[in-house]
Amino acid sequence: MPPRLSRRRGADEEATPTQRRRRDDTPEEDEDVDMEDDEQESGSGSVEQLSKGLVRYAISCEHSRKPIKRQDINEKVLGSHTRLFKDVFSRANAELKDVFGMELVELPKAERVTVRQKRAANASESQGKSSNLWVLQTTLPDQYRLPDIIGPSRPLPDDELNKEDSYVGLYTMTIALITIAGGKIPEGKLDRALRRMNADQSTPMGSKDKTLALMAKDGYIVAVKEDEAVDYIIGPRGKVEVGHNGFANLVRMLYGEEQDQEELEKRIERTLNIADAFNNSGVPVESAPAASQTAGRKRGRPRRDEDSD
Amino acid sequence: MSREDSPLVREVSPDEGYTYMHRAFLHAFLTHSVMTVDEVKPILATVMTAKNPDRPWTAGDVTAPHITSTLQTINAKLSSYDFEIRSTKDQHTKLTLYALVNKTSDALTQLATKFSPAEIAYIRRVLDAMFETNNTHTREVMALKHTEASNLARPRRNRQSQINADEDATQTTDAGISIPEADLVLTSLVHSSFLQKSRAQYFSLAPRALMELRGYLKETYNDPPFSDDPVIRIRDCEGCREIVTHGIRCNNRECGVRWHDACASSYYRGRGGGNRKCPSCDKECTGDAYVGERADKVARGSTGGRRSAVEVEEEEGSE
Repeated sequence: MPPRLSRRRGADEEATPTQRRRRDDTPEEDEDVDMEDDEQESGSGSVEQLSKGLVRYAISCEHSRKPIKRQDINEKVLGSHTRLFKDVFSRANAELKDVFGMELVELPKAERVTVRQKRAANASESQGKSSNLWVLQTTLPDQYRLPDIIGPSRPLPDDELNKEDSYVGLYTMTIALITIAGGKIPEGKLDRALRRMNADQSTPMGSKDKTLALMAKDGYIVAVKEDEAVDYIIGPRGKVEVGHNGFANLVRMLYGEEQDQEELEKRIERTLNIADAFNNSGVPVESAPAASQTAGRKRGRPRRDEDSD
Repeated sequence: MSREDSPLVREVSPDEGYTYMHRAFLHAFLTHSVMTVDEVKPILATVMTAKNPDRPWTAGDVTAPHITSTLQTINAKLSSYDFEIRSTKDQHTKLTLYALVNKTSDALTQLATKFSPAEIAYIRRVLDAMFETNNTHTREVMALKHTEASNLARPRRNRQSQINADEDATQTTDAGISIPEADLVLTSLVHSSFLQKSRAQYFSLAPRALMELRGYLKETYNDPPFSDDPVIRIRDCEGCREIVTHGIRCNNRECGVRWHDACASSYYRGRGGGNRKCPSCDKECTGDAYVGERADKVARGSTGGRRSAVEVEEEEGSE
């Protein structure tokens, strides 16, 4: 954190040598203080300019599945204008909605799963509920969420696999397996399930371990280590992006038409309730928004395009 | 289909302004980076139908002016974010393509490329090889064979493009990447329609890359126009004014005229032999002085000092 000058005129008037030294590292600092009054309206430090920067930043992050971090926004977009965060954020979000049909949605806070984490969380309850991490989500009305418009990616020649699509399939499946297991799945059990799908040695994303590591990095799943054992739970991005609808639609598709629909729906709901009960057992998590479709990237996911909410 | 049924002048957008129809259409561009007209039409038809289910559209109802006006509305909104949906003609297939293009390459959007700094450096080496090493006065190949691309995995010497050098303040002595890693980069660039691989196994820039890098390429590989003896490595087509990386050149080596195959054909159509004069230097055009991978048939300079041979040629060229 660079030392910030006190912006109050009163403090500046009694400029002491200490303050002088602090100014040296950024020569523009002086002008900055003078411009304070106009910078709300235009120029490089205006809310307007900064929110454009944030819009661009959000879109580029979404392309690489990188959550948008408050700290990164401060560093890469706001620079010396961090105190404008609130204004810039709400303006950028409004512009994203207006122009791109997307909005920034906050990810749920990382879960405390292990005994130690829970204890730590209880000890410092003051930390606040926000994760300060966001992802982009579409705000298109349902009538526009058609596979023909926002997915899936186009077919490639027979001998080529679309990695992106395979990845979407694999993480959706993994999240479904975790949900069915009650919100948490031991490593061995997940391994066995993946082996049955012939996804244990090699997947289009590389080895199984690499694939799981990538899912963890992107926030679809979280590996929880307690003592020697490793369990997987659903990660923040998984909750927001795949969510209940993604799971339900995957199950509906896998079971097909012949099944007794009512019975299937009941079972889906029961499974989700059990998983929710697990998820809520720790620090309460705001339930992920129901419409769980993230936009702006290759998303071969026809089954989720017909969200029924 | 039944073109006659549609009125001569179509109501372009029933209610004026920027609506969810435009946002949905933009989503399609964010999902698929490049689309041909034939891919765009059904999407636009679906969007229009979703907007007004009482008046279903088919792909056949979508006309070029309709696409253009929709894109204009979207581009007006996008311009302040330095994005733009551009269209271009594929140099090989002549199909019209549309792509969402990022007009600047600032630090923020570099993230979007999904690559590590070492991989970005590799991509720069590939571009340098395409537009410098493989793009000389006598051989305007502007493409790379797979083996040549693999050989670039580790940097050989200091990079040349001046702009990169300035921009890359992070000149941490780059160890390069391994050949398998380089192959992965190439494959993923091909998948994201940035590079294309020809039947003869040459990598070249795909239309999307040409649209997106148009400014960058000229800035990097062409000398500023007012400098003395500027070296111009990248030229536009005499017909359509788009970059030529696959086409023909004037038979006069010193002449700057370049054509896309199709543009030259339509320009010279109906003119017999002896009448196909270059519009700039009057040299007869035979249509067999190629730009692009077909030019790789031209013998490379003497094997001994290829580097110096290239420089000599360039000096000659600037006379």
